[in-house]
Amino acid sequence: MEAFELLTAGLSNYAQPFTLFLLIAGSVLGIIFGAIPGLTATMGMAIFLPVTFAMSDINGIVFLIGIYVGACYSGSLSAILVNIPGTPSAIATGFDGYTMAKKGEAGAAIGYATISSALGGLLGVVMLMFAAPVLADVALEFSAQEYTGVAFLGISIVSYISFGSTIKGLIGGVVGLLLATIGQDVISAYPRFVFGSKDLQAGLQMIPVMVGFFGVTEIFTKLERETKITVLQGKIKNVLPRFSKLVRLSPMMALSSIIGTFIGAVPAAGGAIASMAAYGIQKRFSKISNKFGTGIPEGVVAAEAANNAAVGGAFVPMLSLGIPGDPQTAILIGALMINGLAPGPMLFATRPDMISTIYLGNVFCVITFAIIGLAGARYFARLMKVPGHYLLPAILIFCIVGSFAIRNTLFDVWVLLACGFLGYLLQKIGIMPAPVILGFVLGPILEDNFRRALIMSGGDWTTFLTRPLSLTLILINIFIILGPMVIRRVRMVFRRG
Amino acid sequence: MPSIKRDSIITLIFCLIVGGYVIMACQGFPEAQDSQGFGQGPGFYPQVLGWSLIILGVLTLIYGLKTARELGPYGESIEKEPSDAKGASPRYGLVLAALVLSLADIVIMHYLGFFVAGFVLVLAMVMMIRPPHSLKTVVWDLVFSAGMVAVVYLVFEAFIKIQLPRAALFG
Repeated sequence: MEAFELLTAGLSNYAQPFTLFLLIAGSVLGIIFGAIPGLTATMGMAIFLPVTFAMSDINGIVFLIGIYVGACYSGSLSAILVNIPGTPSAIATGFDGYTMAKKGEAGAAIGYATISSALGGLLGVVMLMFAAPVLADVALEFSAQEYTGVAFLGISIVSYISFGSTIKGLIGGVVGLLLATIGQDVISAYPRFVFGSKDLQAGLQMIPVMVGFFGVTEIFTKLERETKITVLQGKIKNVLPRFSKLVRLSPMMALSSIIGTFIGAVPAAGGAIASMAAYGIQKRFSKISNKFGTGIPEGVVAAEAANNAAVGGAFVPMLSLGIPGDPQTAILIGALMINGLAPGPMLFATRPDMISTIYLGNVFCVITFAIIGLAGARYFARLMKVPGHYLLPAILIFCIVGSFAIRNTLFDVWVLLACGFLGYLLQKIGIMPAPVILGFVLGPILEDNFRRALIMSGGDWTTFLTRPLSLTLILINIFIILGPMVIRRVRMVFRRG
Repeated sequence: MPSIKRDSIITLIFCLIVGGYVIMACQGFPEAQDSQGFGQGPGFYPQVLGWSLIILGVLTLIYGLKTARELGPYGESIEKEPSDAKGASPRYGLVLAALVLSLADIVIMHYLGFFVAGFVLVLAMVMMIRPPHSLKTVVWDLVFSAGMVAVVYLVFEAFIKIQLPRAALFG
């Protein structure tokens, strides 16, 4: 089928008012799920998956894409307004977004986040349409050795971008990796660090750990340090960024989008690594590197363009190989299979209309959230005006119920509070929650691939050095960890000279 | 002797305790079978992490010592702890009270269900952060607490059909 016919087939689906309604409803639901701490895109999609059984395959997929794309954007809203990322992919957004909000620039931060998310999302879809085969080929080359390198890249980048000491960032990463080892070993099924608890055998769930480290830790920190919770004064201004500023930031958006799409296309990498990597790289090479983290639009743009572009990237292995790029695409694959469709290369031949509907669904969702985001910025920012003595208990109750809702068990609420208090204590010695969470997210990927690589190579550790892609990733890791130190040394030698 | 920042020492102690515990616990894990591959049993990877944690803890101390040397005898006064620098005394009591309240909330939730536990938690926290100074604020706090419970019920139970904890005490 020609590209034009493909596009027409997809467009004709959106001519149905009900399909369009589901797309908008899904986007709005996604924005709600992404913005409320404790609720996630994965949770929203999983909860609404049974609802799609009653719909046609096209409508069901469109509705789920709406939730996915909407939540990926709105994770930034809570990251900016209350420093609790709604989704893991918005962790990096909070670094500068929340600082901007504290400086009274919440509106501008939301504006930059919305525009860069929209442009990142659109660029991601464009790249998905035109570069999908190339990206899929590269990701197809990845074996356990390369996945080990990619997972470690996430840890090393987060240690570099976390504020304070790089060593403490790495300690945080290792703590997260250790938390991920709790439960049954994936290879031998031996229960590790479970202390006889049946609940711990299944391992720690993502949501309670993430909400605990970000939400509850933040609540404790606010309770300890601030006698008065920061509340925005006056009107929210400058929501729409200046055009000249946007033009100046456009190369940054484009680069972040490319990084985001590429990392998103690597199965299991996802938006969190994409935004962290883009933020780290932009910070590393920016002329105003030292200002990152102090509340500059560049930080928000770098992270948001990447994590929304990663959505487009995540669709590449899903559509071309049938491999999920992240948990959300795993749910989409499930939805396709429920409807009797086999995701993968055959889908291009058997249901090209579905392929183009997915492409266009992404585009329309981006347009929807851009409109809602820009029009509603001043209303989102009003969250900050809620007095602290009301806001903190409200966040806590949502965190508690959100953690409970994952498996309907109070055990996850215990985990939430334990992680929140641990995060608070670690923060007291300069270990921030972000590296811990990244370590926790990447833990299973790192362990599984690290051990698989060694098993496949017969215990030969040089296996990580003999594959060109793996070697490249190792060299990048070494450069990220040791690069700044070496550069500093060289500068000192030159100064002395 | 140059003074090292307190948090470097605490970080080292934390790394030694956690890393040491992980390594010791892994000694009790079974050895890998041949089919599981070349000595990489269930304890292999956590042990690597445990040793990494200990090495990083030692590096933190070395770095702390180096920084203290560079700053000299006045280093401590130059590099104040962030909380000390702010001047306001940290409210550890409030943090501890919030933690205890949250833990108690889980127990209450188990026996009396979400509606009672949620209401009590929100009301107690609101009053703890800002003690009420008039009858009007008490009424506002009560209304807010009831409202929050209603919002949570609408979002989770009515909207996304997740059953909130029911009272075990009443079956």
